[in-house]
Amino acid sequence: MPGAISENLAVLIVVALLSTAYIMPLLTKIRKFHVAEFFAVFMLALALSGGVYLAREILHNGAFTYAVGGWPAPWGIELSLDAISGLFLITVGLVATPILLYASVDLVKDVGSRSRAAWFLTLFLLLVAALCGLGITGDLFNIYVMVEVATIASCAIVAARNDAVAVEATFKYLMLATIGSGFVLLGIGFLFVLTGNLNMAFIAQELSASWQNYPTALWVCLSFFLVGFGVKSALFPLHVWLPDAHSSAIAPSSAMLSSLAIKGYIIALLKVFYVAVGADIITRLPITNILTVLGMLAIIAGALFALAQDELKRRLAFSTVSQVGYIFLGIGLGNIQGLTGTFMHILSHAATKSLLFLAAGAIIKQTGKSRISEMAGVGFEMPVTLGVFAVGSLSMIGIPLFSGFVSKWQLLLGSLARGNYLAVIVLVGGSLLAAAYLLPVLRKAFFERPTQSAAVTEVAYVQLVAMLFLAVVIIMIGTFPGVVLQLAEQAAATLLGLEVLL
Amino acid sequence: MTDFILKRMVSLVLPFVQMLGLYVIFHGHLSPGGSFSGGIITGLSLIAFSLVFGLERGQEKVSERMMSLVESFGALWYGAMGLVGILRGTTFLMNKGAGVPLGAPGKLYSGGLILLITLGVGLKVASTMVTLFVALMEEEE
Amino acid sequence: MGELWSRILQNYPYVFALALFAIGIYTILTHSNLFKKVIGINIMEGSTYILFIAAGNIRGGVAPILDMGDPELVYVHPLPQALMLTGIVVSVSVTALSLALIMKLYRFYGTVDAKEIMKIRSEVRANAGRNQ
Repeated sequence: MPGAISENLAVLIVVALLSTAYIMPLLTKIRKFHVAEFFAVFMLALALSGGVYLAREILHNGAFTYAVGGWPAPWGIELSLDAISGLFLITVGLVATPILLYASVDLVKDVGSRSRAAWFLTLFLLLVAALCGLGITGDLFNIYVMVEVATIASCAIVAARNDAVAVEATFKYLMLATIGSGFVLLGIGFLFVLTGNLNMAFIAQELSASWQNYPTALWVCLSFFLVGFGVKSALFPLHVWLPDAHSSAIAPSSAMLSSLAIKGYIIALLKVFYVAVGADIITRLPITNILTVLGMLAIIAGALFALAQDELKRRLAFSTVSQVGYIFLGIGLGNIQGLTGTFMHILSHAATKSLLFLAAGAIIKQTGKSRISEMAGVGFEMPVTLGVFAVGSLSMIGIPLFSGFVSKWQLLLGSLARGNYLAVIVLVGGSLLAAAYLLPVLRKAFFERPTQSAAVTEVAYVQLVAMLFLAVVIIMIGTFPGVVLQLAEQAAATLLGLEVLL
Repeated sequence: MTDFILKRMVSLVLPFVQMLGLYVIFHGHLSPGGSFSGGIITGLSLIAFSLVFGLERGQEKVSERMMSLVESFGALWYGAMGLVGILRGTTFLMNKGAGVPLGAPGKLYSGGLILLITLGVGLKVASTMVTLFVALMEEEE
Repeated sequence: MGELWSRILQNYPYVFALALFAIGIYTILTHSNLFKKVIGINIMEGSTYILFIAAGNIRGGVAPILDMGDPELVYVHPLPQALMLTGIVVSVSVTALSLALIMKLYRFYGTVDAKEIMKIRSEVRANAGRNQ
């Protein structure tokens, strides 16, 4: 039996999360609500440990594939389990578990009623399962299905809070995300017409033999994917839905969406560009230059927009636009350091931004103030929350010993290896701008006297534990990046089709 | 609605519609259609009942609670069928290789686990359609 | 020029699909009535069905059900059909979700017009600013 579990671990993680999602409505009806929440958190933690085990296997024994239903690749669905899957499963588990733990404290009050809270749990778990699915799949059909599940689930958890602004933001998000899915589906259609396959390894084989016969069609197809996944992952000019959706949702939803949901689409984009089409073709086409330019634009523009916001959650939402730019810059660089930086930033930004959103949610909830200009002296009243907020800010800026530094350092090395000095300037400038939009919050909170002495207390212990866990993750990755960095390098090498570098 | 003809017609036609829905679900592996189409037909028959006789009478026949139970059950059933393969020492959703008897081709029982899986998915689709309808109708009031 | 036309005529389902896709996106982006946006989504999703089904089709092919009959039969590709069945399910759920959201929006704002909702929101925001 243990053998059966470890052999089928990848598919079991997704199936367990999906089943848990569907058990939630039943469980909340027959047991106390906290039992259901505890069970969900437990299953997420189990998925995390499964991800860690899988990543260890992959690092030691190399990548492998898994044929669902016993049907081999061109006929059946194939899961390709490589360092990318391992790293992304760890990222999802590491971040989703504390977010759900944080959410579980007063979910019913946040979303309005018990049945709504039960559906929130279902949707949350569906989103996590879809993201895990995106991480492990090796098939465009699966990618489409998982992208759609993730889109609908993330739209619905924005609308979890029953108020006018959230519903309007959700509608906007849903419309743009559906346009994005349409483009992704068209892109998949083009790849299918060109190659006759939906399995990514087989598409790569077909294309490497014959792509020179139809470069225009391939171009059109790649731009469809870029626009489709770009809308969904809030690449700069296509980010318009993000600030509204992420700032109007409840804190755990914003944390989940900003840190993980958009990363799932980026992983899908990476798989389509580098695995299905192939690193060889992608790096020869100018599309990587377009990605680099878009990434640099996003870094600067997102940070400038963030500076202009006074509402804390909107500022963090625009900061996500800026940080997504770093990830796309790394994809565009297309060398081993750049892609390692991309993977590290996916992990580091997931931990950092979820911590910042959770801390912001705690501040707004306890003080009732959502604007930065009103937050004078909050640091004296909520020292732990603001302390972890400081950790998150320093990591976001890229100070050494915090996880943000590791990823930005790799991106810097990648830009230098490419000889792209403009990217170096933009990377450093982006960090300075991040300092400019995050540090004022801390200055306001710690170095200004509170205006009136209302009795403001810390949030519940469980929520503090969730936030402290994320802070510890950030510092651990920043101080001992060893294994994680190795995994990220391995993932980058897999994408580029290089041999193991270890 | 108090239209006599409509009520008579619906009560005459509905059994056949439901029969057709179940037929399409059960013959998913033999003929065009399958769990999704069949589930939609079955679900629509329940929706048509609620539309003609009113939401309350519809709820008496199949309550919302019942539907959400069936919905969860359908999804879990699919997962359980997938686990059969793993329990027999092969991969997820493995059918013939896991030792499930396949049956004679062209007969109703001919796809091994496929029939059971489509049954679960059909139930899930039908109940989801009804839940969606009820949710939208209740929001309106 | 003649060659281009013959190519377009040969591949007319793809051209048709792309035209429908453009119409769908145009509808979503330009109409301010929320219901029309949902209709646009359905047009857009419909265009992708045409693209995929045309890609998997073989003229004279039959539905891919192995019935131990004529071995000479040509079957169409089942994979795009399965993908499109999934696509139909997705578009049903997106439509249901957006209709539910429109109903909520109507309850909150009393209108289903995106421009008017924006106007109401900016007025509310301006009032909130004045009160502080």
